Amino acid sequence: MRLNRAGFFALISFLGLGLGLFALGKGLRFAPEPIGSRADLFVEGARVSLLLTVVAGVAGLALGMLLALGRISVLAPLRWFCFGVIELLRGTPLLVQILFIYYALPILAPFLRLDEFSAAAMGLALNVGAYNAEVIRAGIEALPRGQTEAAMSLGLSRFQTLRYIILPQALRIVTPPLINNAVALLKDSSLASSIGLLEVTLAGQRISSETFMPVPVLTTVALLYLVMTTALTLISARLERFLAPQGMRGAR
Amino acid sequence: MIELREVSKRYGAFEALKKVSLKVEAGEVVVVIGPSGSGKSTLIRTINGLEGIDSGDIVVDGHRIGDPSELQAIRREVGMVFQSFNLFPHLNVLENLCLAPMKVRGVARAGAEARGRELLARVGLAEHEAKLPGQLSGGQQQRVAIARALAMNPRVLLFDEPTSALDPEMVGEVLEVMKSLAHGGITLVVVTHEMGFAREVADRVVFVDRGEILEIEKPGEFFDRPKTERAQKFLSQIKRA
Repeated sequence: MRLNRAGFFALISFLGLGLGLFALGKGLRFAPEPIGSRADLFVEGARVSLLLTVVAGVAGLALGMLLALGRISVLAPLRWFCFGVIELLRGTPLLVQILFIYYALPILAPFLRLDEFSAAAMGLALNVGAYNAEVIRAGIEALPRGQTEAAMSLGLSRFQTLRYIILPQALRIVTPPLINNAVALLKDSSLASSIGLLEVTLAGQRISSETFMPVPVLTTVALLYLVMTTALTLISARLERFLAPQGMRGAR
Repeated sequence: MIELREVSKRYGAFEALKKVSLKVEAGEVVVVIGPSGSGKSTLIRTINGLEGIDSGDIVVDGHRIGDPSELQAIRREVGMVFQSFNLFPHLNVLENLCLAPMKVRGVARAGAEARGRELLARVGLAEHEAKLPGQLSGGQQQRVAIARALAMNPRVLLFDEPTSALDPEMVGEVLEVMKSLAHGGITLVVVTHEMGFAREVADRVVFVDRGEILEIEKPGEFFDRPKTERAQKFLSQIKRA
């Protein structure tokens, strides 16, 4: 029930965010030149950045969960594999990963010829997934051993113990660092400009080189990011409150 | 009901259990005592497989530990109460009781809740069913933990120092619940430092020291005429304290 309410709230928030962006676009039109006449391009860029963040964020959450579970699996080969994947993704630059997926992957595997948005979303999802995995794993390992022991001694299977006892508690603990990762993801989405995806940074670059007025243009770009990250943080903070039951707030 | 045959367990070079053998009959109340670090907690944690063993045999209600499916069968029949309660803090009291019956035994919610309320009434916590564990005192939490174990209708209940983490004024309420269970016919294996409880309720007392069972006696016999030197020393130290 609590989760349904949280899901409903998330849906409303995203609708609200879209509406806010639309209103922002209307407002930007009244800005002085060179911004006002190009408001639509800014807003279109912001829309792509936001969509990229949401898609990569959701996929990265699922991936992070899977990698975290693999990382603590009882099967040693699976554990090593997930460890390797996480280290590879955290140990190489995100920019290189995005360039690799867009330019190199189609040569290695022709069926993986992705458009700019998909390639950027995939790179971002993999990268944030690796960081999420470490956060989620830390949350699981922070729980007292007694929780697992109590669940197992009641006859719950390993999977049931994870599903009903460990994950619900661990995810609540790690909501703040996961939000942190989501905010970082939104800013990192600017790297998608390197493969020509017209998100807000690339839109700004184009307008800037067209008008030779980098100061107002890049300031607008920065402000758009700030509005989006602030909105994301506020929404996430509310979401966190929905997820925490009364007695666990502040309780050990 | 429970049989341990020459069970050994080591942590690296440290021998926690040295060829321990013990038989517990159905309905019996066995209290395990001994100095800290003697292996008594390890001993009862092997009975439901929370601690693996290196050699020997453990058979509980006809199921032999070692085979994973048998282990699940054992855990359905053997409840455990821990020193640190280990209630699930994200679930309320009634949900703590209902989770395992519903997910492991497939009991319908209505049935599980009815049984849960009945057990809460039995441990004197009927009015607390909607609270979260963090809102209860230690003694109340431990009584919920006992009710949670009972909700699975176990044939055996293991207690691992159930009163050691409690404030002194709460020890009594938990011991009262345990005494009522002892008279109820369920098999109990209790690790405790509560000598009064052992003397009053135990059918037999098991004295463990340095990973070995040194004595298995009726409580009157053990407390009044301990046979081994180590048991005599242990009891005299307790009396002095």
